[in-house]
Amino acid sequence: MKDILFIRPGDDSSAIQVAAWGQAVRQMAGSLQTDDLCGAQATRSNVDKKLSADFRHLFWFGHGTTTALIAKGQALVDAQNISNVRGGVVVAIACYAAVTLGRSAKSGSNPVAFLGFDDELGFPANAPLPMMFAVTRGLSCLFQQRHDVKYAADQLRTQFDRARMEYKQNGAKYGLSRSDARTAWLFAKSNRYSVRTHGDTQAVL
Amino acid sequence: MPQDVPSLSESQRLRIAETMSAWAESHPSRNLPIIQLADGSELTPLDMAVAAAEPDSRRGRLLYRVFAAALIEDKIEPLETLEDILLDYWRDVESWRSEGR
Repeated sequence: MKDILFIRPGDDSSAIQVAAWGQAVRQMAGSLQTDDLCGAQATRSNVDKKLSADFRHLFWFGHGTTTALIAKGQALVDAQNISNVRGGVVVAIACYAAVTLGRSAKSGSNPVAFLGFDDELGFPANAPLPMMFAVTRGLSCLFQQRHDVKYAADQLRTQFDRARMEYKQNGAKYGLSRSDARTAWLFAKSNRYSVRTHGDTQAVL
Repeated sequence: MPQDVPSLSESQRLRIAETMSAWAESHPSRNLPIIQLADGSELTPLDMAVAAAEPDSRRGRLLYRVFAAALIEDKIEPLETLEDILLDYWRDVESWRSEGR
């Protein structure tokens, strides 16, 4: 059994941005065995094939709806195949998936835990870096200290708080006007309040 | 949809809509994306003004949820009122208007 399947479709400009965040997170995996479906490799058939090869955890960086993780409008992870994540954790850096899809995570089931968002995940088009750091630093505790999903969710929230203060205090450094920095601040705070967990939040990688 | 976000009053929504409209009208990059969303869509200043004018649209509901979340009190920074937040938009509007943009 392998440890983590990363899926990073990069099917449009925002997904390409988020896919790069996923690559940064993958670099933290250390001794954990990972595999990666990126770009054109991220298809339903490839996802189903990989998941049938027994991965314990799934990390998604791309688009989402309430019921599925999607690329080019097609569901790549949904209620039909999320249970093939064998007893581990699903992390979805995507919009909305915590609303319905994430609720399939239950203690003693497949998967056991879910970490994601219950609203839109937004970031400023010309200054995404603080939001990237929020995600990568927020998730790093899963790998570096082997903290559990609940702790990682709290870290994500803390890091979105940092991002929002960075936009507020240093927006001009990123070339943002006062109002553009305020807009970035708005979405950082919204992201912070959209972080959700389901299932056994004491689960670890 | 988010569990912790309160709802805004009608007068708050009207102030946001008025601000977004003036802001988009003056913004030097009103047609360029300012926010990217992980659902694959983008928001320009004009999109945000249109969303604010259509509170029952998908984007309108999103915009007002985002503003509502901004008014949640936490320990990260002193709580700002909606007026405090909108003032940043109006300052840029005045600045851009004075520059003749």
